[in-house]
Amino acid sequence: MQNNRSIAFNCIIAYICFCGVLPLASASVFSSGATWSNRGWKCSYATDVTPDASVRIYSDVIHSDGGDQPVFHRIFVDPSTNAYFGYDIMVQVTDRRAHTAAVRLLPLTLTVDQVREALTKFIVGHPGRNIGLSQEVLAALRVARMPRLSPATFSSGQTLALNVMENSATGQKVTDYIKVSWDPEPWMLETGDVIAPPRRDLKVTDMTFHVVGGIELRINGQQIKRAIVADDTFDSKLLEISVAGYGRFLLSLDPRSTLGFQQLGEVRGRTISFAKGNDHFELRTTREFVPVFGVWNLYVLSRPLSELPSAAIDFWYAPVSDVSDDLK
Amino acid sequence: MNPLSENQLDYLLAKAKHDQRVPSDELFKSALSKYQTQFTRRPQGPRIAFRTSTPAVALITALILVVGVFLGRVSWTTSSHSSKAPTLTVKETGSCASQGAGPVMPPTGLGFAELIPAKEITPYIVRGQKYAKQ
Repeated sequence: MQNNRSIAFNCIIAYICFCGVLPLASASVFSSGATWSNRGWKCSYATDVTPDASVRIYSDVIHSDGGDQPVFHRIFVDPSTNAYFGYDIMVQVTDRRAHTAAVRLLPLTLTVDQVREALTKFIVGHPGRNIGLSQEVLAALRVARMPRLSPATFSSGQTLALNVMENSATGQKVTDYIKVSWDPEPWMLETGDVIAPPRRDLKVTDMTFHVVGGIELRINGQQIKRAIVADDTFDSKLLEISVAGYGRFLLSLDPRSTLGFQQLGEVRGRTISFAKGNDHFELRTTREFVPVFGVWNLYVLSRPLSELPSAAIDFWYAPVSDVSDDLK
Repeated sequence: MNPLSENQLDYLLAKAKHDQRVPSDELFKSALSKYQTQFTRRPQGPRIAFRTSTPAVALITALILVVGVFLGRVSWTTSSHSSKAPTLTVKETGSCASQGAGPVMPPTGLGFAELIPAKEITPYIVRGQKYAKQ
């Protein structure tokens, strides 16, 4: 009998964890992804709803390549009403060598037929996957109210937020987080989509952290809430972790001792761990951080972090392309 | 023939493996006997801590699932939260990359009737608000 009581108690605890804690702890992001233009420009997005709710709106990013000025198109489709809306993200390259660009947000320029064509391609290319969009939905596709966008120009690499939907009666709000950056993939060297750099020997400085599907952070065993991050899948030589109340850390596989990096931890499979003072940091992702067998030294540069006085304990991560930029 | 000690057996097996040779019949039989003995002992390990067939456990589990489904907290819809969206391109030439497994849409949820598209959008920078560099 005692055993049964214990089991019942455990089941109740498990139920509370499963039904209550996990959904609350999980991010309210209901859609995220990225696409690349032919010139190596990447547009990543994450869309969240607050308060957390089940959302059946299909969200995607597609692109049109107009020479050196790619345009990304963010699209939201409600399959229950066959309606869609969206906006354009225009990338105007400002410095080809530094890979910087101006980013402007404009009304969606795609026609209904173009949206239908793009989404049909996806459905045909991924048979058997339920994305909520049927041929019937696409055939009846129509434009919902298109939003006006306040004219503004931003820089590549910045994470932008757009409040794209809301319900004033319930207080629910959908925020779209986007980021445009020059982040070419290795396969682009085969297709000629990007200009290949001169051939040379591989060095340790070429090794990158491989992040797939975001990062979880534990400090001294306690899980830290993750702030909304638009780009949760990337390769980067430097990884920035900013934790409210703890500081800002640049992680590197390369010693970079002249820049003040210290060997404070290790990379082991899907886990990065390091210690700073009395605090132990552990980061996890869904794939190996370094896809080479071995346990690797981790070099860390810690920096102070300015934050809002009321900032909650959460963390932010991002790829960093150039350490000199970051140390300015 | 006297039975081999474990050390002798391990050594011979390791040596045979190293030399890429099959041990002689007698050694092999002895090794087989050893491992069969070990195998028959395995079920005598620690007893399972509780019986899953207990009616109370089954009842509680069923109750959890029923209540969970009714509350909408145990459902398939949460899987879409961590899904990766697909990527598409409108152009006819060139290539585009696809990331992740693509979204899986929940069968129910909020649409444009509940989440009304904004009339006007004013983008703002997220980075730098909370985590500005010093």
